[in-house]
Amino acid sequence: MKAARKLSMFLTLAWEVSPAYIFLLLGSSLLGGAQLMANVVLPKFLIDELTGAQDPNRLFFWTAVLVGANWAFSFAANALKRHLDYRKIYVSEMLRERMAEKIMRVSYACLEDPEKLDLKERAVFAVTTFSALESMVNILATLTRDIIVVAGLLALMAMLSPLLVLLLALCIGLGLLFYGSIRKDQRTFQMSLIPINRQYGYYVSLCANGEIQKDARLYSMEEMMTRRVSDYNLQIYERSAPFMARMSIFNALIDAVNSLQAAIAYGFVGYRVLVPGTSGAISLGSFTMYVSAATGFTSSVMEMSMSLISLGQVLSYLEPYMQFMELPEEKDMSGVPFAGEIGEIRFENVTFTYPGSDKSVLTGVSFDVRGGEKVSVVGLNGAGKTTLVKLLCRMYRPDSGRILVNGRDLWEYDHASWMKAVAAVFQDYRLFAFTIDENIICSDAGGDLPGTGEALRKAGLEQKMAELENGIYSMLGKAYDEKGVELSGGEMQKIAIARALYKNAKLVILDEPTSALDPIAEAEIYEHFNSLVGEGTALYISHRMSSSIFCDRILVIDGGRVADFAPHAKLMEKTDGLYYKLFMSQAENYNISGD
Amino acid sequence: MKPSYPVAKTLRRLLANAASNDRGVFFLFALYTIGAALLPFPPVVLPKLVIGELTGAARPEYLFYIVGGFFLVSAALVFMKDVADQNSYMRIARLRIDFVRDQFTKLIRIDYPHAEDDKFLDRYEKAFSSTRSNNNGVEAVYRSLFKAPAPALTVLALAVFIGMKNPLILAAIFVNIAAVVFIGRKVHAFRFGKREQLGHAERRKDYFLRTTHDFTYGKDIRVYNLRERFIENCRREIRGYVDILSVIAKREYLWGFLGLATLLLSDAATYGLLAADVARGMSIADFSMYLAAAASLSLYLKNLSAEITTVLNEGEYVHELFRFLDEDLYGPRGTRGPVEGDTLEIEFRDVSFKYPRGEKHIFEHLNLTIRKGERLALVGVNGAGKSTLVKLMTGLFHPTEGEIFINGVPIGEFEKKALYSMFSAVFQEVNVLAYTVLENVSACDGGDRARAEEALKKAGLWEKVCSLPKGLDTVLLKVIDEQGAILSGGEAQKLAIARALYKDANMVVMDEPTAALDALAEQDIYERFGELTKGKTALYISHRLASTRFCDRIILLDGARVAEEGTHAELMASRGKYCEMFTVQGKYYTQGAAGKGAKA
Repeated sequence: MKAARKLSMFLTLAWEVSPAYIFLLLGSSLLGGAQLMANVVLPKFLIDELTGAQDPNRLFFWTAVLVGANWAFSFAANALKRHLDYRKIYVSEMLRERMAEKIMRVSYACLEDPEKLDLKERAVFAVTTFSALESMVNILATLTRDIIVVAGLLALMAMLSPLLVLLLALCIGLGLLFYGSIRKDQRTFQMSLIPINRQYGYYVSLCANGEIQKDARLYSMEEMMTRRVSDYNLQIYERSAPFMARMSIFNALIDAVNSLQAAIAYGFVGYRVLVPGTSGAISLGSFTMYVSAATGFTSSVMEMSMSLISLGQVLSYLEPYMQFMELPEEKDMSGVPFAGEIGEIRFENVTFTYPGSDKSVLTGVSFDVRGGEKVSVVGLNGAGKTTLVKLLCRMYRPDSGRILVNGRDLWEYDHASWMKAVAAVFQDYRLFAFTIDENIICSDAGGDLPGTGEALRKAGLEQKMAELENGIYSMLGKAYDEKGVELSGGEMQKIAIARALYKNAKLVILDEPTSALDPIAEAEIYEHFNSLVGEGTALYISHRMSSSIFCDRILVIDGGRVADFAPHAKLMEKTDGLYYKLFMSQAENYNISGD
Repeated sequence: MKPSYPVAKTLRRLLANAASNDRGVFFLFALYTIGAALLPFPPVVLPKLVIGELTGAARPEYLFYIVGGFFLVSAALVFMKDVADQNSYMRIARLRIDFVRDQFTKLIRIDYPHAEDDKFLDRYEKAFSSTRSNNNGVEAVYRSLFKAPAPALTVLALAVFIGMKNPLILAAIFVNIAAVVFIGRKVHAFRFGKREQLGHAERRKDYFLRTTHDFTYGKDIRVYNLRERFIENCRREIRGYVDILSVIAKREYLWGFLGLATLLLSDAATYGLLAADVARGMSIADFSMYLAAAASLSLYLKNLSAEITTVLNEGEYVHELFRFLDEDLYGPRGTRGPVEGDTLEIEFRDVSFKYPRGEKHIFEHLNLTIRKGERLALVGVNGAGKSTLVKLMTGLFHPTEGEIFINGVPIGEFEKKALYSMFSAVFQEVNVLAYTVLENVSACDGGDRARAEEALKKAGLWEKVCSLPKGLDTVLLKVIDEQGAILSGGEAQKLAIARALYKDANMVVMDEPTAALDALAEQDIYERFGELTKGKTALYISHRLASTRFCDRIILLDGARVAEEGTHAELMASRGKYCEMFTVQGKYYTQGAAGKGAKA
C-alpha cells in the first residue's frame, strides 16, 4: 500500500470518528507555531529599546507585551489541551471499535484463516504496543506546527542572508545523514528482535499461565520454563548492547551538529553586526532575533524531518491495520427471504476444501434431510462433521455442488432471514458477559419476554436459576461486571442449549452439546431431544454413540464422504460398517456385547 | 502526598543489586552526570560573550574564537553525556533481568492454591508490572536515579548564579515550578481517586473490544445476530470511559489557572527586574545571559522534579515486587523425601475441604483408602469433587480439616517436590508446550532419548513422532517455530500419557483423559491403561462409567462424601446411584446393540 493512500485512509477514518478533534489539532498546531514565532520576534523590540532610548514607558510596554503574549499562549494551550487529551484517547479507542465492526462484518472464512488471524494480531500489536494510532496523531500535529514555523523563519532569515540559510541547510543535511543511518540500523535491529520478543513473550506468559501450573508442579518443569525466560532475556540484551553502543555515537554526532549550528548562527550573525553586508547594519535586537530564528529554524527542520521519517515508519506499522480495514465485507447478504417451514434440505455433490488447505474436507457429499427429521451425524474426529454445520450456517460456500433448501440454493436466500431460521450450539460455543436472560434472548430488549423460562426449564436449568440471587437477571461471568456469577462448564453448556431452543428456529444444530454434562443430565437431553426441538428439523453431532439412537436417521461421515445414511437399526445390521464399529466399541464397555 | 512505602529501603536494595551485578554502570553514571550537568552552561555563557564582544572590542577574529570554543566544549560534553546515557540503557535493562528471573522462578514455585486464586494476580499486579518493560518499575527507577543528579547539580549552580543577581527572580521561578509540581500532584491525586471508576469503565470497554477482536466469538455473533448490539455497547462504553477522562481533564484545566498565575509572576519578575537592571546600567550581554540562565533554571527544575516523581511513583511498584519476592508463599511443607521403590497407598482420614474462597464444602469428613497396587475408578456427577481429590492427594491443595496419609506418613511431612515426584498424572486438558517432543515428554532440558522413545512407543505416538521432520527434536505448536508440528486431540492426549510413562512415578492418576476424543481414540487410550499402570497404584477418574470396567474397584462420590464403593458387580447388585447412572448410560447401548432405535 502506498504511504499517501494509507495516510488519506487514516485521515478519513479519524475525520469520520471525530471531526472536532481534527480542528482542535489544527488549532493547537497553529498556536504552537505562533508562539515560537512570537518568541523569535518580540524580544527584538525589547532589546532594541534597552540598547537604544530606554524610554521607561516603551520599556514597560514591550516587557508587558512579551510576558503577556507568552501568558496568553499558555492559557490557550491549556484550554485546548483540556479537550485534546481525552479526545485523542477517544479517537484511538474508536479506531479500535471500527476494527471490531470490521471483524464482525467480514466473511466468516476470514476468521478461520490463519493469515487473517496473523494480520489482526499484527494490527492489534501495532495499535496497542506501538500506540501507532496515537503516535500517528501526534506526528501529524508536530508536523503541521513545524511546517508553519519553518516557513515563517525561512522568510525571516532570507531577509538577512541566503548564505546563512545555505550554511544551516548543510548542517541539517549532515544531521539528517547521521539520523538516517541510525534509523536504518534501528529498523534492521528492531526487525531482528521481533521474533525473539514474540518467543520471549510466549515463555513469559507460559510461566504466568494458570492452566499450566498443575503440570508445572507435578512434573517439576520449573527449571525448563524459567530458564527460557532468562535465556531469551539475555539474548535480547546481548543483541541490543552493541546496537546501543553504535547508536550512542550517532546520537552524540547529531547533538554535536546542533551545537555546530548554534555556533554558526552566533558567528555568522555576529559577524554581520560587525561587518555590515549589502542590506545594511543590524541592531543588537535584530541580532538576537536572527540568532533565535536560526536556532529555531534548524531545530524545527530537524524535528520536521524526523516527524516525516517517523510518519513513514508509523504508516508502515499501521499497514496491517489498514489492510485489515480493507478486507471485503460479507457479500450476497440479500436475496429471497426465507419464510415458512423447512420442507427439505438437500446436499448435492458438495465438495469443500478450507482455503489454504490442499486436502478437501468434504468430497461429493450428497444426502437429503426431510423437514422435521432428526438426524445424527457420526464420524471420527476430523471426518468433516463440523464443516457440514458451517456450510449450513453459511459460514463457507461449497467449492462445488449445492446445498438446496426447499429446492432453492441456500446462498440465494436473504442472509438475515436464513440466520433467523437456524439455531446452533457449537462445540466451542461462546456466551457473553450479558445477563443470563439477555444471553438467551440475544438482544438487550431484555425483560420478561415469554419463553426464556421455558427454554431454561427444557435445558434443565430451572433449579440453578432459582438458586441465583438475581435469577435470570444475573450477569454472566466477571469479565464485565465483578458481581457477575460464574457457572460451571455444564451449566454454561445448558445456557447455550437454552439459547438455541429459545430461538425457536426451523433448523437446530447441536454440535457436541453435552461434552461437559454428567451422565444423568446428558441422558435427559438425549431423551427429550425430540420434544426439545419440537417440530423443527435437527442435526445432532456427538461422540456418545448412544445418543444417535434417538434420531430418525444417522449420517455416517468417513473421511469427508457419506459412508451411510440410514436409521440406527439398519446400520447395526452392517457389522463391518464404521457405525457398528463405533457403536460397539462404546457399548462393549457397558458389558453388553457378551451377556 | 507522602509515599506509603519505605522509599530509602527500596532504593538501597536496588542500588545494592546494581553494585553487586554491574559496577561499570556507576562509572557511566559519573561520566553522564559530569557531561549532563555542565552541558547547559555553554549556551548560557555564549550570548554574553558574543554580545560582549559585539558591544565592546568588536574584534571579528575573537568572535570566531568564542563560537569555536563554544562548539568544542559543547561537543565534548555532549559526547560524554550521550555515550554514557545510551550505553547505560542496556546495562540497566540487564539489571532488570535478574528480577524477572526471580519473579518467575517464584511465581512457578508458590503454593498451588495461589495459582487458582484469581484474586492473587490482582493482588500482586503492581509487583508484576514492575518488571514488564524498559520504562516502568525497576528500570524506570534505575534510569531516574541515573539521571536525576545531573539536573540537581545544574539547578543548584544556576540558582546560586541567579540568586546572587536578584533573589526575587529566583523566588518567582521557584514559586512557578512549585506550583507546576503541586498541580501535577493534585491532578495525580484526583486521577488516583477516580481510579476505581476508571478501572471499571476501562474493563467494560475492554471487554467489548476484546470479545469482538476474538475470532472464536465470530460464529455465535453471526448466528445469533449480535453485531449491532455489540457495536452499540462498545461505543457506549468508550464514551463512558472518555467521559471520566474529560472530568479529569477539566480538573487539570482548572488547576492550570494557578500555574498560569505563577507563570505570569515568574516571567514578569524575570523580564521586568532584568530590564530594570539594564536601565540601571547592566550590560545587554549580562541581560541575555541571565535570561538564558533563568530559562534553563525553569527547564532543569522541571526535569529534576519529573525524575524525582518517577523515582517516588515507580518505586512503589518496585517495593511491591520486593514484597512479593520476600513473602513466604510456599505454603506448608515438610522435609521427608519421596517413597523409594514402592508404589503408594493413600488414605483420606476424616478429610474436609472447601476452596479458600468457596462457600460450599467439597468434602465433609471424607474417609477413603486407595490400596497399594489397586486400580481404582472414581466416578460421580460433575462437581462431586473428583478433580479436587486429586489436587489434595498430590499436595496441590491442603485439607481444611483431617489428614491424608501416604504409606502411613502424613502428607504434610513430605517435601513438596518429593510429593509431586511420586505421581504420574494425566489430565483432560493437555497443555502441549512450544518445546521439542523430547522436552515435552521428559519435562526437562536434555531428557533421555531412549527412555522418551520407549514411553512414546508405549503411548502409541512413536510412529507419529517418526513422521515429523525432526523426530524427537521437532518443536511443537507454531508459536516458536513456524515449522512446528500440531497434534490432534487424541495425539496430544497420548503425548501426556507418554510424559506420565517417562516420569515412571510411584503412582498413576488419570483425570478424564478421554472426554474430547472420538469412540475409537477413546478405546485406544483405554487399552493402553494397563501398560501405563503395570505394578502401580492407579486412580482413574471419569464421568463415563464404562471406563470403570478395567478397574479393580469403584468409588462413587456424591454430596461431599463417598456414596458407594465396591466392584462393578457389587455396585450393580446394590442397585444404588451407580447402578442408576450406569443403567441410564448403558441402556441405550443395550437397546442399540440389539438393533433397536429409541424412536418408535
